[in-house]
Amino acid sequence: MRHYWLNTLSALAFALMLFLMLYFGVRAFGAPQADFGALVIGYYAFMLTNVGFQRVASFLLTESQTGTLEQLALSPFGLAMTTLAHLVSYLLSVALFGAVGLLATMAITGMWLPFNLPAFGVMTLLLVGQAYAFGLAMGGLALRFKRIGDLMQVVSMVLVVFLLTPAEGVGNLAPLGPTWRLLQQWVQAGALPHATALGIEVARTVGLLLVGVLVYRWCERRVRQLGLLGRYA
Amino acid sequence: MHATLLQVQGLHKTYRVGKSCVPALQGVSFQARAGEIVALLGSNGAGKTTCVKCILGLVLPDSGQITVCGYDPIRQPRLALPYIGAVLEGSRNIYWQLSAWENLLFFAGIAGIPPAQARQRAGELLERLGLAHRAHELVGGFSRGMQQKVALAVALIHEPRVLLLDEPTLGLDLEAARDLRHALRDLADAGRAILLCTHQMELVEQLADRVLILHRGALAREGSPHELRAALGQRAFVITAAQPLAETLQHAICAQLPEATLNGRVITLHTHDTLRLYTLMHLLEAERVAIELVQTVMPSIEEVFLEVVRQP
Repeated sequence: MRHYWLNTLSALAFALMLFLMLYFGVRAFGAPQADFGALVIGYYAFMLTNVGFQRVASFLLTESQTGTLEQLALSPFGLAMTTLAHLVSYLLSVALFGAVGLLATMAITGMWLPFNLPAFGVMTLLLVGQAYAFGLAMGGLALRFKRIGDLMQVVSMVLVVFLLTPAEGVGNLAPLGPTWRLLQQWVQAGALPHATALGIEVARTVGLLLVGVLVYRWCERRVRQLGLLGRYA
Repeated sequence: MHATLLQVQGLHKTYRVGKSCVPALQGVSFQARAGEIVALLGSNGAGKTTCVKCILGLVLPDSGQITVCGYDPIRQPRLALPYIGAVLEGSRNIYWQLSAWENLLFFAGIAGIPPAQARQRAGELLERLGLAHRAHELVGGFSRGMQQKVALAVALIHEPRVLLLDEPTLGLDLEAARDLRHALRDLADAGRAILLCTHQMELVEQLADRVLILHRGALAREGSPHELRAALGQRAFVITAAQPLAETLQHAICAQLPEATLNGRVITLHTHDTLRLYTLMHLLEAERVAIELVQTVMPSIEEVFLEVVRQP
């Protein structure tokens, strides 16, 4: 951030402009404050979820292209943990920039939103965790096949479909969708989710993460067998 | 006897290329002890990089056993990797968009070094490698030699016992290469085992305590540089006469010893046969020519290497 201060300032400016656009967009339609709040929370959660999905594969591909992937793989913690550490730090930076942009927007517009940070944090964490599971799988495929940009777009579309899947029958088993609806219920009703419902989402997240980890580890092992870890993308 | 820090036993690795199988390593076994610099030589495609990457766990071997300070880097990476540092050829090894200082702290972090210790260690390494005055500049602006020093510092930040270097002097100017040689010698003398992959025979002659020559995935030769040269046999005798040779004597030498070459007072006899040397001595004695110096010429490591790789 320090070395490329222009880019850092631009990221902050972008976050501010984005929330200002949301605010003025909502006002232009004459919608109440609550709608702006719902929009902000929804957008924030979606943004972090998208990062959770996209970031793993893009990080591994970038490291592969710059030639530093093998050095990262020499960490005693393993490549997966190093990638997770990167994702966490990147998520924190995105969340921080977003928070600064949002605070600046609220200060500029005078519209201060009530924000239950713990509840938001828990549900966003579940969403990000589920998206990260898919991101891990994509990361493994990125290690193996190097160029998977179009596949990422296809899977992104699939994840959006999951998010929009109605809560009926099989829809309740889909990833992301039920958790997303829980978040929407909290935003609209103002009530925290029931412990049982939350427990189910935690189990869903853990299950998906296990699958994501298994896929990633299988891919990484295969890449080491083939000797492709150090091959540039 | 110095402790064995790196042991490789029966390493096999075959790559699938399309429908065919390419054997990269065929039963390679060797070890490296504390204080030793072992040079790994081989033609392109001989298996050097595959061998190094198997030791690091970056490539999974088909079979064989590797131990680093008693731990298997394939099955026990968390225990073995803290003992290994590496500078890989072809890859940048470091982040050009970070400073030397930031690179060291970053890689210390992913090696699990506590921040305070990392800062102290980074300062020491930068000072030792002559980079302290540019510690906070972006590595992308460094010369190739300085970048390689930063890569070496990164490989050393967690104080490994075993150092794997793949073509460390590639692209370096003479001064930078000399600095690196001295640094490697110091590191070995401090008790580390260094495995050095290189094509540069001068570097091997100057640094290596032992030489391993890979040929088509198999270990073809192993020994100290002196042992390998001696095994190939003496190449020539060089006799320096105390006075210029008369023309008649020169003709006689050329007639009886076609393997001899004359250069003023110096006669080079391209043979290891001592009987031919005696013949020359008789010729010189008959003309009352005193001998100032007799030397034997051993083959260079380059000649040993070429002898190996030219075998069918």
